[in-house]
Amino acid sequence: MRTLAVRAAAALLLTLLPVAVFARDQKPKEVQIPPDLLLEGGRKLTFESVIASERDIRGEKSFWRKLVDVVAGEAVYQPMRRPYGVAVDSKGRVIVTDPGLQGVHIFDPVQHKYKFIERQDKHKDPMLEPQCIAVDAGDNIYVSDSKAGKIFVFEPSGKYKGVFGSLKGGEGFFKRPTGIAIDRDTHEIYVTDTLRDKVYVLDGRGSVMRTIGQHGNGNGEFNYPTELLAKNGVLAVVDAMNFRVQSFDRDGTFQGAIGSLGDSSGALFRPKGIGLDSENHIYMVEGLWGSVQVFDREGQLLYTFGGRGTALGQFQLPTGLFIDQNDRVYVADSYNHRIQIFQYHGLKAAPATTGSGHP
Amino acid sequence: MYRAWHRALEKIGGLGVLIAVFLPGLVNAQVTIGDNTNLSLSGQIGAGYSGAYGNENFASSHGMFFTGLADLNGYYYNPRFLNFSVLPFYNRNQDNSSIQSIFNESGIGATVNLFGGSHFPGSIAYSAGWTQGSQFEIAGQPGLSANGTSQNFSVNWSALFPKWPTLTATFSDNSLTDTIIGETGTTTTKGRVLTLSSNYNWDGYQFFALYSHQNFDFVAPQFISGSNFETTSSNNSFGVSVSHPLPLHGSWSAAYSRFTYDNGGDVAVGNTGASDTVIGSVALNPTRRLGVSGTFRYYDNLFGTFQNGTLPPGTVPIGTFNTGVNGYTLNTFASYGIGKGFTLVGYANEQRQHFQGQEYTNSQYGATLTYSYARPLLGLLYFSFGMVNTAGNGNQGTIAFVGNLGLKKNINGWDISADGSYAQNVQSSIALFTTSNYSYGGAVHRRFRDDINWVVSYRGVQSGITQITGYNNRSDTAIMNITRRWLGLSGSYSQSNGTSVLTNTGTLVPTPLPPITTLEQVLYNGTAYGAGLGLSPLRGMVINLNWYHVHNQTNSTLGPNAIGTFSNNDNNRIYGEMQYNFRKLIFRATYWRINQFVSVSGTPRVVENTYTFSISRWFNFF
Repeated sequence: MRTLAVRAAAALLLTLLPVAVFARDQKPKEVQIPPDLLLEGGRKLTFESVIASERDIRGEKSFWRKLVDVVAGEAVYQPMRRPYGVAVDSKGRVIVTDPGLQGVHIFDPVQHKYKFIERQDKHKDPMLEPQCIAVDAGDNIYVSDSKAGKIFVFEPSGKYKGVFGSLKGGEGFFKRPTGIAIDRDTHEIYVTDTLRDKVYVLDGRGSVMRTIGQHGNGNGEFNYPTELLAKNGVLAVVDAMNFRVQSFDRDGTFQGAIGSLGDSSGALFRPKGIGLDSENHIYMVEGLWGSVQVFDREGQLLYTFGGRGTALGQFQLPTGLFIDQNDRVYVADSYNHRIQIFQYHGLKAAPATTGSGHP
Repeated sequence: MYRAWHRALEKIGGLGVLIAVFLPGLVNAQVTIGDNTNLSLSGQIGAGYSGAYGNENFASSHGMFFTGLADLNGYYYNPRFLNFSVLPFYNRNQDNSSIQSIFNESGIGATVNLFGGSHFPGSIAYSAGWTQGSQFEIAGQPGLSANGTSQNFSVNWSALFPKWPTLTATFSDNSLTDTIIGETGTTTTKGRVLTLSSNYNWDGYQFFALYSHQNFDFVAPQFISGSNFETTSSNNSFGVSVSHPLPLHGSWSAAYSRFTYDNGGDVAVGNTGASDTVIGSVALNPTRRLGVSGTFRYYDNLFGTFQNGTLPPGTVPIGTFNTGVNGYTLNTFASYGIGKGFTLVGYANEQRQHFQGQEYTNSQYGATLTYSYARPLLGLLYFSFGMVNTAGNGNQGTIAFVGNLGLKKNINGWDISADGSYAQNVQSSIALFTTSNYSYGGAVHRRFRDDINWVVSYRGVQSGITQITGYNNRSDTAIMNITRRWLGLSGSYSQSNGTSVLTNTGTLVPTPLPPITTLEQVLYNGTAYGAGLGLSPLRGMVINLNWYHVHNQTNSTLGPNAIGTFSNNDNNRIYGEMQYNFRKLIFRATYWRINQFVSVSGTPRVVENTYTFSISRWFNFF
């Protein structure tokens, strides 16, 4: 019997090389880059890149890294499991919440570095289901935890700084915090409590200063509000089950709303992340159709991109969206386990913002 | 021949290192051969150095060694039609909890599945392996270190036609050998099992039929039985049953089974016979709170009943006793949910047996009130309390309290749980005798700071025949664990003792039986204690250190064939391993020391120290 095993092992060893050489002829699949989306007035939207794991930000390999790869095999990088929220800090680092891994990824494409933040094994204030994310002017990271009912704060390095909304006994103050946004001018922190149909306004230490909204479908009222956007002095709230986006000024006064229920282009069915580009166009993620709809300030649909699928440029249950100061659009493509990055090429001279009205 | 292959393989191993360097850049995909065959292959190639030394009873050795394993799997046409895998391994290093191999394991595993997931499921499986340093377990006793081989072949097939009776057939052929380190004999077990079963549902009636044929051959070395010992046994089982729903959310069922056996070999007197069993039962649930049930059971052979009900399938005691005549059991049971966590249970049982010319009777009735309470903040509390009266010609008029009590609570950060129970039953394996069973234990858990967990627990269990002293089993187990992120420390102590039956597979089945048969019972006594340390100081690095001491002893001081001490063995074992995974490279170092003495073998104490260093690399070829 032992002889049989030795023969089997030897035979397998001798067959590995030719089989491997044969397998070498298997050509890797070609990746189709989505074509540019040409828009009115010379504008266009181009696909830039994708981030699925640390591998995608590692850059060119040096000779020594290639040698180590040959000898020890390529490193295995942990892929994102269920990316949800996305934000970009002043250093260009892409910060992504991942409820599937109960943590936060920090990708640094400039420095080619990666860090993963988690607190699931902590006895006190564990992070259970990180949802949405925001970054303040000092690049501190704020993460809403919809299950723990708290807001976690981390330093730019990823070091734990503290938590907002942690009551005695470990309970969370918020019922289901989802959206989070920070007004960089006033340093106020906005947090959506979806089950309470309210937006809480916190100061820099986490104390509640005021609330915005109540349950209902009138102006300034919410039915399961989710994502937030605070930019140019305007707060935009995704009012999910009223199928609209409402905007408020800094005092919480209702300014306007766009969107209506429907399953056609321009209507909202499962609105998710929201963003604003340099021309004040509003980008809305439509979760069900796997697309991003772009509206002007009056709520008129300008164009859409994406669509359900697994190819580059397509989405499966997209969630969060972030637009940086260079008009790069980051979309959390949740069930494709990746962040897709697009570049909006707008007009050089963007319209001036007023600080009121729609975002 | 083997040496020639081994030399050839060592050369190939050198080639393997070259392959290890140049291959990974070449390959990375699944292979499709032709239109329908898909294959994927991964494997591991490695080399290392090992040495072994010990006392004067152990021959020292050292030298290079090579390791390799591969996993070739694929399917033809569709994975649900035909899928297969082949896993050869040579000098595989692992500390697998199921195989419990320390190192140097060679073998091959192969499986083929036909029609998996379709209406015609069928599968063929074959595996073989050689292990060194595995655990030879004796039930009720801590293990000894052994080297062993195993071979398994099985075929399964089912026909599942809609509206037709199902038919499932299985066949398996297994063999095992174990050689206790320091002992000369080899334990060999061979078994073949054929099973046919069928289900049919007709107009609410559920029919089931089963046929099974089993063959077992067993060779016990001197270590087990005092002298080399061989047994052969075969048996046939045939059974049919039918069930049907009744009004009031009830059901009835009836079943008949026949078991025939033929045991021979080096036993003093071979035994051949048959056992028939008829069972009828009725259960009703007139309301959501009230449930009543009754079961009647008739059997005509006590030995067959014992064989079926007490021992593991296919085993027979090494010993003989006369077969009995017949007996019956009538059990009735009722429960009523009072509400607010309270439930009232009542039962009445009647048993009658004829055994070796004597009639044994027993009647038992009792009632129990149970309560269960659970609140998140106040903890968990449950208890049951009752009385039972047992009367018969073997044990007249005993009345006892029975019940259990348990609680679980957090007090100032300390998670505390404790429970205890006492029960009286009537054992009917051989004649009717009342048994007492009690169990008690507790655990304390505390979390210190944010990342230190400390757990300590204890459990004691005892069961025995109420009327006769000395016929009981007892075990005590205490465990302590401390974990802190990348560090774990554990310690344990256990002891067990009592009476048992020595089966033809060499295992001891703790089962106190009354001393009214010629059945040989063995007194066993075992103690084990040890400690372990686990570290993971770096990502990808694991360090484990384990030590344990085992002492066990068996005596045949019960029964008419008592011969005194069977065995008096001890085993000291230290095992340490360090493994560091850097990408697909695996660096591994192991050390193990066995200091083992097996009394009956006649060989002196063996001390064996073994160390290995190895490096291997994992590949995903295609």
